[in-house]
Amino acid sequence: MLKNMKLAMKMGVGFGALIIITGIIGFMGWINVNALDSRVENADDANWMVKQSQEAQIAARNYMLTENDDDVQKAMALAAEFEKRVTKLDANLKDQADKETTEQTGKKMSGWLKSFSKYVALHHIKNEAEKGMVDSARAALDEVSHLLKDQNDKLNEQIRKGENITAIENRISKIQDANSLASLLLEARRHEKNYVLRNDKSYADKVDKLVKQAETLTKTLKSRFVDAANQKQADVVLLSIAKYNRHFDDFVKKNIEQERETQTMADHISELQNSALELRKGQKDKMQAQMSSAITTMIALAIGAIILGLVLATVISRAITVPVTKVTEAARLLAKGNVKQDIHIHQKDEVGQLADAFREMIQAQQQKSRVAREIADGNLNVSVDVLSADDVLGESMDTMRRAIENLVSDTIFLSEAAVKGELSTRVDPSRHQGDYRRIVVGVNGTLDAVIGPLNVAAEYVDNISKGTIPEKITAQYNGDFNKIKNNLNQCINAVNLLVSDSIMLADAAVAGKLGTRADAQKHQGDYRRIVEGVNKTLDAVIGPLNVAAEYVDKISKGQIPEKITTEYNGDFNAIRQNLNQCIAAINLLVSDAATLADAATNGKLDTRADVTKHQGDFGRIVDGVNRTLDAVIHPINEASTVLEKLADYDLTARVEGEYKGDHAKIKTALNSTAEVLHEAIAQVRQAVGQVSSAAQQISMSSQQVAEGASEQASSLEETTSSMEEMAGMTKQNADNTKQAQTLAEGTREAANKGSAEMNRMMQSMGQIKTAAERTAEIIKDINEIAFQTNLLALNAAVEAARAGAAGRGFAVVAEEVRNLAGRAKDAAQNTETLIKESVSLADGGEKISGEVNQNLLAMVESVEKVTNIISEITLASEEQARGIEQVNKAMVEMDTVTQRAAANSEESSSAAEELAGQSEELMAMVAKFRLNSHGSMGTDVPIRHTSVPIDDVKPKNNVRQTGSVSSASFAISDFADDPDFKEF
Amino acid sequence: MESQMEPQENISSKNETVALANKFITFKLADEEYGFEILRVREIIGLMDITRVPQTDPAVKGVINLRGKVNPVVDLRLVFGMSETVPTDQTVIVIVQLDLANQQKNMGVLVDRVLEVLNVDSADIEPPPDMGDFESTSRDFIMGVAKVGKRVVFLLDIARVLSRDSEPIES
Repeated sequence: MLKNMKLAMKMGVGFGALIIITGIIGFMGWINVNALDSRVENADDANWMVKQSQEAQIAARNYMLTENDDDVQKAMALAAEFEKRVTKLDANLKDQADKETTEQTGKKMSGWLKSFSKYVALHHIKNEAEKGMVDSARAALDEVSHLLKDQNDKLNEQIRKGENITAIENRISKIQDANSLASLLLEARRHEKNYVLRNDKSYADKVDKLVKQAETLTKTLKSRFVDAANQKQADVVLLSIAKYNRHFDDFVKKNIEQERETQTMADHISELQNSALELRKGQKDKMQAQMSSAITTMIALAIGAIILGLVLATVISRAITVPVTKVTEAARLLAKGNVKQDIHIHQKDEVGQLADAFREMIQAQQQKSRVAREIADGNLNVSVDVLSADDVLGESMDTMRRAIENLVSDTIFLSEAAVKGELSTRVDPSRHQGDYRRIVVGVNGTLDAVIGPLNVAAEYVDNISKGTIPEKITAQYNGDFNKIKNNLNQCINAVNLLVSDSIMLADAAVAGKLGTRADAQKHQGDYRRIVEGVNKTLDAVIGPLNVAAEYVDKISKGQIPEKITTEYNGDFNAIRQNLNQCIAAINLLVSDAATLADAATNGKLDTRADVTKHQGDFGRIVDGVNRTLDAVIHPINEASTVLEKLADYDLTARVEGEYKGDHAKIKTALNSTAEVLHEAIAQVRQAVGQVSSAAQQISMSSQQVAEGASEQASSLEETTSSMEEMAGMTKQNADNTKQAQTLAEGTREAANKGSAEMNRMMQSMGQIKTAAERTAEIIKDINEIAFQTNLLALNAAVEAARAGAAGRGFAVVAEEVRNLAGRAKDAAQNTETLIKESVSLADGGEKISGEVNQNLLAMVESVEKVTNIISEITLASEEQARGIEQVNKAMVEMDTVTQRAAANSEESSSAAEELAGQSEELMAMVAKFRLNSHGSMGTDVPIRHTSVPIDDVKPKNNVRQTGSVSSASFAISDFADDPDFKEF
Repeated sequence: MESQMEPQENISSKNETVALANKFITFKLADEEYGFEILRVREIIGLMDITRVPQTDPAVKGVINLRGKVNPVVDLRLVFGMSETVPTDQTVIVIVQLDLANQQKNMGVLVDRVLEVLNVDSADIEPPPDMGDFESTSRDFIMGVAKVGKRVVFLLDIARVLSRDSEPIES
């Protein structure tokens, strides 16, 4: 059955089983956890119950202690909440025992609540009883006190009336009884309070006893009273005591009940808590049991799930892997080419279908291999079955069979054409594919190789016959094709050699190399005869040409030969006549040149040759020589003119003409000489100007120096007088400081004296203080006496009182004595205050005098310091005076130096003036030269006399400038005849 | 001091019986004035050396030797629950004469300052104040409150003060 299931189905079954088991485990876990959760909740509730009950109890206790109604409310609310939750928990619980326990706690809680309510109610009753107790006790006491007062009044009455002693004693005993009654009642109250506070029964018993005593006493008293009003009062007292007793009994009863309720509450609470704890413990135990069972179940289920999963996995995987392995093996064999096999798997699932498909594939492979073998054996008529449109292998095998058929038919066609001589026949390769095409192309190539060389040989022979000599055949051929190629190349060489010799001879003739001949030995056969004929023709033309060449050569070397006398024919005679004519013309030219040269040697530069005697270019030669002479003479003339001008002081003269070569050099040398001279004179002129102005400046500065020196001398004088004043002041200063010192000494003595006085005063103050202290002691004694006197007076008053009427006068005396004591005390106190004041004043005085003394001492110190400073000042003043003397000496020396400087500056001033005069003379000398206006403008410096004041320089400057130029031009004409100048 | 003149007037204006019954010696404890019947006073003396007695109540300061007689001395401040008396030059001992069980006994009381012999009209004496629920048994020794001018003097039953645990002797 498993074999026929689909794979998906198998997988589904396996995983489904696993999922179901996992689900079961999860569900079990969830159930267990839920159960645990409810247990935890129950345990929580039990805890809560304990806590809640404790809180309720605490609230109840708070009420008992503070009696606050809020606590009652709180306790009630807590109890109500508790009961509600218990009901809820009860519904949740399933176990009968637990249910009972819970109900028990609920009941305990309601019991507790009941007791508490009762307690509260009792408390209110108790309060009222207490109030009643207080009221009735007070009423009884009030009545007793009224009774007492009444009895006292009556006693007084009786004493006043002077009734007999029995009646009075009777009255007194009644009063005593009433007093006892009051104290009994008070005692009862005290015990009652003790009972309320301490809750001790013995106090209650004491109260009872006292109340009974009081009742008895009251009754006795009543019986003794005669007055109806008094009896009625006693009745009221009795009534009040009874009321008090009733209230007290009630109080005690309620109190006991209350205690019982308190005990009940405590019991209930403790039982309740025990139950709750028990419940909690039960829940905890159950929870632990549930937990362990749940863990066991889960582990068992998990193990079962794992085992089932393993089994399912094994079975399903085996059902799939075994057939798949078989099919894989078959596929591997098929891949290796084994087609003779079968697959033995017969299943209906996907693996079975795979096996069927493999079986079909193996059958198809077997059929295809059979067909391939047929084609290989050469049987092209076999048919290939194409199984489907996608059977690529089948189609390819069919195509292969047809390609081989085509190749066979083309081969047969070519072989038939070659046999018929149709060498150009070829097969079309496009009909074939791949390597089949390469076979066909190879056959076509073979045919081309045989036919090519035959065609080339035919073409060459045709060209040579037409005179077009082709290049040598360079292509390489094999076998017989190479022999044909060599013969053709030899024929081409012979023709080429003949042509090149003809061309060489023609070229030599054209170049004038008439001795050149071709080498006939290089040629063979008829080619040699042609070359020999050409060489003979050339020999006949060359003889006359050689004679003409020799004559011309001589003429060109200056050896003029004799005229040619030999006779020649034809054109060769014309050549001879022309040569003779040329010799005559050259001879004439030579004689003219010799004539000119002789004239030049003798300085006759005007001599020239006659041009007209010569023809053509010879005439031009003579004319050139004449012009050359002209060119040489002109620059020499101009140079002599310029030198003459220079000699005339005109340094502006220059050679103006344009010359070349050596003439140009002469011009340059001359011009630069003039230029240098011009420059030198201009510089001299400038220097002279500068010297002149410098001399002026020196003169001026010297004057200023002289003035400065005199000023300095006067200020020195002033300084000296100031110094003298200063010296006087310093002396005065010293005198003053001496006076100050004396004064300071006086001050110091006065301060010392003051300090001593102060010390004495301080001593006096101390004495005052001591005296005051002693006085204070005396006052204390007086106080003591006053106090004792007061006591005596009081004692006297007491005694006077004891003495009764007899002591009345004594009492007055005692009071007077007491008053005196009081006055003595007051006076002593006043004195004490005054003494204290004076002591404090003395203290203050002492302090102040101490401070004054301090200040005086500080003053003495300061005065000493002042004295020191003054003596220092005195010393400093003396030093200052010495310093001033030295300064004075220095001033005198300075004065001498200044005087000397003034004298020196005057001397230098006169020297500067002299220098200015000399520079003016020099200027006059230089002014004789005529210079370029440009140079004179830049370098000219005004020349003036040293006596001209500085203020007058500017206005005269321009006048002098123009004047100097004109005087310079005059000077040149004036000194033209001066022999010195000429030399210069 | 301010009421120095009053007793003279009182003495001269009232009759003898009243004067006898209403004469009080007054003194100070802390800031309050107290007084008790003058007939209870034996003597007033200045502070003198007090010899301590072992195993006695803390309020008992000890005993003094007064002219050959040994008298116990009680610090009234301690009796009234105040702080212990600090002796000053004003501190005095009042010797009180007690009639206990028909037998006379003298006892010294230490007070801060003795004031005067005061005459009080019975109309100026009021019963002890009613304190309601705050009432305490320990206040039984106050006989009444005297109004003197603007001041208030607590009149003590000195016998009761000095013998608190015994039953009262007289009304």
